[in-house]
Amino acid sequence: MNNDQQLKLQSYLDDELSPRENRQVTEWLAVDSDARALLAELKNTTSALSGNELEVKLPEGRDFYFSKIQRQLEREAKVQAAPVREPVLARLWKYVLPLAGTAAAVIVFAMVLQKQISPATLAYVAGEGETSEEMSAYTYHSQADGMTVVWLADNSAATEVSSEAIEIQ
Amino acid sequence: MPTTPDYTSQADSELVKSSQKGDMRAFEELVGRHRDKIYARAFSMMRNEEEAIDLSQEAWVKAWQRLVQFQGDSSFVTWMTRIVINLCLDQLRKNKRQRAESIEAMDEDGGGVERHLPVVTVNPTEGLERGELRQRIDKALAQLSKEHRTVLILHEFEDLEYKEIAKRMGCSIGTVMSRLFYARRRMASLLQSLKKERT
Repeated sequence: MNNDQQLKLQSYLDDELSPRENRQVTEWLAVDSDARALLAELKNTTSALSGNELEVKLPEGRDFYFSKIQRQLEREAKVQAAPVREPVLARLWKYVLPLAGTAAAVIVFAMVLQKQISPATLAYVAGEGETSEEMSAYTYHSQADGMTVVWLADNSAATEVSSEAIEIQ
Repeated sequence: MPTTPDYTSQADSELVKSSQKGDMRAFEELVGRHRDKIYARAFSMMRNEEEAIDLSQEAWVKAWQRLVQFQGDSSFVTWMTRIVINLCLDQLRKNKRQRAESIEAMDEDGGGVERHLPVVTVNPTEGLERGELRQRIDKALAQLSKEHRTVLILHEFEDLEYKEIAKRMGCSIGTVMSRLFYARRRMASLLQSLKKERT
């Protein structure tokens, strides 16, 4: 008898089989003495256990036992009633965190903005050798837009003389 | 002058209603009536007096806190027993984790030992006086592993179906069937040994 058959026999005893399976097991029992013997053993054990659990008594007096339950209930009621006090750091953190977050966002935004329009950056982008004592050049280059803008300034006159846009390939 | 109700003469259902309204004296009467049964279930599962006292006490605390949820679909004592069983199962899982063993890995039931036990052909409990029978059953139960004992208790003493046991124990129906089969076969063998010891 394999494991599945043994468990099926047990399910038969416990009335956990479908009517069809039940019929199959009944037929099987009629021809298999080993199955009948095992079923008889399982039945005997189940009958012996039924209603024969040892009676155990609580080894504590009624009043003492109940007083412990009552104390536990009082303790839990107090815990629930008490306002939840957050630690100082946690309370501070609650206010500091949004402020710090906003400040960080502003700084990052400012840095990005500065990087995009800074003349120094533009001059760097333009490359060295494009400036002289009389002239200076600032170049803005956008790969995405496929364009370069060059600002030319006349340093001697301290006035901007011209600017032109050059399309790149 | 208001008279104190005679709680001892009231039915459980009346005491439950009063307790649901916050009457602690009514609840005390319920505890007094059923404390042995609730403790006994905890003890049968844990086999440890101290743990059983703590868990049964915790069950009563939980019952008071959840009393409004009790709708009377089952008897009060059945509802209470379910609470203590769940607490015991939680505790067994915790104990298991502390022993660094997975509850699913516990698979002595799948080892096939039970398949090789010889069938006990003569009923080992036949003709026994009830007190003696109960003693022997308790002694045999104590020798089972906690998982096998739990399945046997839930099925034989609490009349739970395979599906319900699997749900409560957090395992598959197949595992329940396997554990129950092993537990029954082992019980038959242990009861037979106890019979031989006495004769």
